[in-house]
Amino acid sequence: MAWGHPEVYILVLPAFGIFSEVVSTFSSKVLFGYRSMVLATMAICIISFMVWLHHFFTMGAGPDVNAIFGIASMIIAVPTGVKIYNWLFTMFGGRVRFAVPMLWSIGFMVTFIIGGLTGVLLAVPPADFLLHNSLFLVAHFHNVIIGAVLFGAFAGYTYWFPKAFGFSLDEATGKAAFWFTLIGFYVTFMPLYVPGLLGMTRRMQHYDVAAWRPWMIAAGIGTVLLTIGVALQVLQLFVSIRRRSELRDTTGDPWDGRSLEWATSSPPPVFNFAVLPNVTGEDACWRVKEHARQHELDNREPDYDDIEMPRNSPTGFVCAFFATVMGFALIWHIWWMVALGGVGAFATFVAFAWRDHDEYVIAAADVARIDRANVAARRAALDLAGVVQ
Amino acid sequence: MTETTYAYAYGDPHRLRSIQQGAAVHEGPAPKRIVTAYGFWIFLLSDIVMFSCFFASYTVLLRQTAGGPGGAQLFDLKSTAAETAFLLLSSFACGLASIAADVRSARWFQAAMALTFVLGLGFLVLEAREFAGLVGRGAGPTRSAFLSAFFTLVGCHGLHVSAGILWLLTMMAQVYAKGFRADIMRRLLCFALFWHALDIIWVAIFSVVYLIGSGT
Repeated sequence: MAWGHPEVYILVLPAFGIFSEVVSTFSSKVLFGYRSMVLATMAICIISFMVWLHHFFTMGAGPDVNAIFGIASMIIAVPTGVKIYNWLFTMFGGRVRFAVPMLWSIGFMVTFIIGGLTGVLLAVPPADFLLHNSLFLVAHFHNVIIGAVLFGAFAGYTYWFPKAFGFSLDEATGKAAFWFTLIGFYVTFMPLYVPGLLGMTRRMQHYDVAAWRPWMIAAGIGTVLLTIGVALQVLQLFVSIRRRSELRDTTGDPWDGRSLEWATSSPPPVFNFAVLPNVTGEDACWRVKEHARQHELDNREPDYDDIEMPRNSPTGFVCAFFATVMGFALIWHIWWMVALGGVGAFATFVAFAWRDHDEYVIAAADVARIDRANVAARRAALDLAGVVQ
Repeated sequence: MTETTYAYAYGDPHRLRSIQQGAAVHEGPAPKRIVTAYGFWIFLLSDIVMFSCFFASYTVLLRQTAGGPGGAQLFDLKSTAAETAFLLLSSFACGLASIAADVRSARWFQAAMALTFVLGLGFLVLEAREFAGLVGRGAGPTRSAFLSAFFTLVGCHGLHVSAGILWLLTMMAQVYAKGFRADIMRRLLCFALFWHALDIIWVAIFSVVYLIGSGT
């Protein structure tokens, strides 16, 4: 971790966003403290630029510098704590559904708090002089990065998979994968804190201290469980594709979602929304459904218009290819290749700019047909739920 | 206030239309010219964020000459003043080109763009001469932290001007081949924003790098 801040916050903030969506959806409640959530994110953005020296406490910058960066590293735990409390209060009093994305989110909260607490320990410079470069540090950053970023990625993957591909992921293998990964994670990384405190440094090719051995064996067993978890994730995808017709998401709203993407069909049409929705606050899709439950689904059809769509183009990919060639050649001083890459990228750009037709039109009749199918599927779902007579 | 009027007044900055209220609010999305310019402004702002980092490192490293030459020995303010004149005049010519495009005068547009091109090229030639001179005197970017910061900041601006000149020539060719089409007018708007932004950054470079730097 010679370098790494604010990189870890760049990693974790998108995961925090996923958890906010998931926790609110599966608690059937509006996200608690939206404004404080935004403020906490902005606070993390700023403070994350002022903590980087905590990787170099032992380099000898002196007590003043170490104290300032140590305090900043502790302070950044405060906005992060605000977020944790907001998620907990979102769940509090809600009707919590333990679907796979929610399991990952709860697993994240527990794991991330433990990792955060050991992080605050490491932010104390005198403690860091003992723990620097030890397995304690290794256990700490796996605790936060796996617990937050990886769990967040798995939560988001399960949550939005049906929206992107039109069918849900298999629930049973998903839950099994979650439990093996969670337990495997704890069996692997919790023991590492102990040899870290016993003085074991990281990246050792071999060791001859008997006291470390039991903990390393425990961690070894944990990696077996983690490997099973990984295998189950692969199996989940395989099983889900096999069973895709049973798992088909016909309503476009498999989780009783709250944000606008759940108002489209799964997968969404290329134009996303037949008529641009009017957003008056958070949880726009939820408001539409509430509205429908109270007053039946709005029977009036909107006026459908033709929709202009940009034509697909490989320009970005081709330009990036030539730019990469140019960057490579610049690093290695291969001047003919620099010219090749530069001319290639520029020529691609000019060819793109020279197109006469860069849009196509989806006729209002087609938009109406696609949107009516989406609305009909939703009305059927509400009918089944006994909401609309 | 009803929900609809609230949405119309405050909650609907992108002029998104209503699902619920049917035909109640039918503003439609913002025109393409606005959307395009907005996106380009965001690009320019991110570019300016990058330049501010380079300015910050330059001012921090100004005195870190590692026993090598400082700004007072290296900078030729006469040549830099000429560069400034070239770039400011090219911005003026670029403004003329925008006016010519607005009144759809292809001849004046091409003339003003050609003038912008010549002035921009003059700027680049002077800058290249300055860089070659510095490297020739052993004051290249590897000599000291001060010179690394100098070449990164000023060179990055020079690269922007070079890319802008390529863009300028492309726009001249596009207007010649296709005329003042709506999408080409939007590109001209972006090009003008880009060119003027480079001018503003140069003014900061002239003040911070050359005027303050030559005092050390």
